[in-house]
Amino acid sequence: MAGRTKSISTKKGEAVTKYFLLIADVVLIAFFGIMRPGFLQVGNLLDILSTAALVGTMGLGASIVMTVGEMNFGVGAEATLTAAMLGWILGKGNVSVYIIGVLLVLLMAALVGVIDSCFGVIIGVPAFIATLAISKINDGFVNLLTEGKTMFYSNWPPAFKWLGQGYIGPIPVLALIFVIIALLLWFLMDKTRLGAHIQAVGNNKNCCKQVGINVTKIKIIAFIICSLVCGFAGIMASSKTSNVMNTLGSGIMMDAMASAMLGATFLRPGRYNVQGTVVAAVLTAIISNGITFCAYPDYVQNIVNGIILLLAVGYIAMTRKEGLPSVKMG
Amino acid sequence: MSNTTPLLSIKGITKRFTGITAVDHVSFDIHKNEVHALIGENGAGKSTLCKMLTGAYSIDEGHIEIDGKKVNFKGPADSMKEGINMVYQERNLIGYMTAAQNISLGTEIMKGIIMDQKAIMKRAEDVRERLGVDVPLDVPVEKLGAGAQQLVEIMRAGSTMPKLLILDEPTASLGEGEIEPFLNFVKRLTKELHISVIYITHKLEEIFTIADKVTVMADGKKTMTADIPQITQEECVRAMIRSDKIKAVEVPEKDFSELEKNKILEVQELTYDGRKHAVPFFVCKGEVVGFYGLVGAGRTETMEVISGIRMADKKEFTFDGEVITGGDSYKMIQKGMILTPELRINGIFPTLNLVENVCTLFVRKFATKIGMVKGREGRRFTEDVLKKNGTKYTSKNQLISELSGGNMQKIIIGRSVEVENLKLLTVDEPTAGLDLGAKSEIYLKIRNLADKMQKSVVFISSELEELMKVCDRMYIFYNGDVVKELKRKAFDKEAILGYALGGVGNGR
Repeated sequence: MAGRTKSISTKKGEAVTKYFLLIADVVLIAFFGIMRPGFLQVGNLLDILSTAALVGTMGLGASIVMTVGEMNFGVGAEATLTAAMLGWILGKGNVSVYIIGVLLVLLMAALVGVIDSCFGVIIGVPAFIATLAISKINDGFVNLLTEGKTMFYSNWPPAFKWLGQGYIGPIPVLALIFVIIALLLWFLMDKTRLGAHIQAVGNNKNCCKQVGINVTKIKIIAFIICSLVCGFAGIMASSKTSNVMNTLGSGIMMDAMASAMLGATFLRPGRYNVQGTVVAAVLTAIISNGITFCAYPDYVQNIVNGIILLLAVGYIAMTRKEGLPSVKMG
Repeated sequence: MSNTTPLLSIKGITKRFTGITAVDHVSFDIHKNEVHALIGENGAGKSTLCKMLTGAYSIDEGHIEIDGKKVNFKGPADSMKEGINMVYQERNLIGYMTAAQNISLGTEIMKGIIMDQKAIMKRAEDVRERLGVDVPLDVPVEKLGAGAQQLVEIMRAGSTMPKLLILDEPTASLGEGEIEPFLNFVKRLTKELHISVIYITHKLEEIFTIADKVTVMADGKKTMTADIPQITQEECVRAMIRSDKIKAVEVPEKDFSELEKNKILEVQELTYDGRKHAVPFFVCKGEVVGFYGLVGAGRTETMEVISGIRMADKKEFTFDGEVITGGDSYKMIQKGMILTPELRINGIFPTLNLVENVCTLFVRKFATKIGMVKGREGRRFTEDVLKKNGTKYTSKNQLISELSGGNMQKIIIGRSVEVENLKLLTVDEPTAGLDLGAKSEIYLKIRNLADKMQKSVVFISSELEELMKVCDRMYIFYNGDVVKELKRKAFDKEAILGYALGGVGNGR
């Protein structure tokens, strides 16, 4: 049945869909610009980039695990836990130097990645279930640290806020950090051996085993990178709002994972890629910013985001018979 | 005999999977500069044996020696270090990578922390030149044909200059014109580059062209190792088929004009997958009709459409005197038509026991009015089915996945036959992966259904020999259409292959 649709996709159609996300970005900016000219002010555009930074960073983290063919539904909780941990050790005065605190909590985030892969890769529980269970435990720890309230300490060092609210020249630090993380991950995934192996494992596990690539090791590394990046996204998010809410991570998780999947329609259809995730995260940010700007109610944003995601994954299902790594089509 | 130490010495290795011994105390030697053919039927244990040589499977008993030194491989990486490389039957490539990248996968050349794509390409060009093959190196391999993909894998395996290369049915995916150059290529690997080759195949002609020695396997055991010029094709066949286990199949001669008065199924044309398919065929009461064709020729698809499993754009056929234009598989089973699937795993519930596997087909029969299962009746019925079909099992509460393939198949066919009011049974590749003894039991069962029980059977298979052995009539499929009907007396292997390869009028 579906076999017919799959063979139709032509070269020309692929070129259009390859850049569909970027085109959508431009069209939507133009659309909102016409609706509300204020939308195009530099300040607002940079603001969009800051919003995209949070979703995009977490999306990049999630996409690494998705690339090896697994799913991590714990990225939201991992982000919240890392942020809460940082807020707590800085607030309680256990650590006074901001950078050391950040390094410590990232170490902890990496540990969560190790636990994820212990169950999801080594023991062999389907990773999406393992990470879901672990995310509940992480939620528990978050509530323990925040005592169920929104966390705020007045003795947080100024550096805590700088990451999310500071500017270098006219450019928000948040956007800059996002670009740096994206460049680092792009370099990792497309230029280094590790990146090539991460992608190869998601494409054909058996082939990797046959040429002597340690599939288990690659997957564990992918989970650790994912947790590190998502943990850092949590730090960025808490810095932006100067507090740690219980819903900090879960609020951006679905958008983040959606960005990774949307991104897989960009540039190299059927494969997750850093560029695609960035462009998709920007798209989500444009939509949410634009809809707020035009004073549409919030639900419009949810519905639009959902429709775009369905269209994107539907397109992949119809054109790529093997589907996406981690989202196998039957 | 040469008195040099063999390159690889296999000493009584054994591999057991749950319920079966796949490889049973096999020993033989492979020498330098030798093409050693390994032949045997499907399921004889050839691939399992070779996977033990590469470390992909662990060895349960026995050991192997390389250059007289005992080795113990924990995985393919270990065997590669010792110079053993295998090219598997299924393609193992990363589709989006170029041939050059695939060749260097796992052994990428680095410039600091960056992969050196130029050097990777250079290495691939060197390998290509050394092996003397012609494959484009800079396009994603998913864009290449089957033959070229195969060569890319051999280039990868050959890039490290292994001592021993294992090729698992390398010509299975190659087209007619690609086979001969490929065989010459394998010969050159050994004679010029001094790479010994284990050549797994079930095509006998090939081994007489290229091999120096042959080892024959049957039922997991080695039945013979011999030098090639000193042996005939017949001797090979005799070693492959351990005749003591085979039961003869008798096909009574039929009067077709009499049979044709009682057609059960009659089909002209089916439209599925967006295309009209001309499939004029009929099946009479009490006959076995074979469907032959290459993989993808539309045999399975045709019967799946008729059985209501596959969606059709348009269908119209006569079954048991009734014109049928729709209906799903449930409805068709009620009408008396059932299909046993091509992949055995789709015909069983691997995590359920024998009783559940037999009775699920009859949930109505073994349920009370409010839907409670009548356990005792189901168990009695199961025992009955198992006994009738000569199934070997330890307990009816054991999981069906613990049984051998042959016994699973007996259960699948056995329970299908119990369908109330059954008129037509379609068996799709029922003997795939079975040993010859189990195969012959399936053949007897199929014949028995037609001759004694007066049911009709459609027998789909890719093994022409078995169809010629069992069927009364045969239809040959090509590219989705029926291109030829043959009665038993007119069965001729070459002609049938001709039709299957080229369609109408191309019979050689």
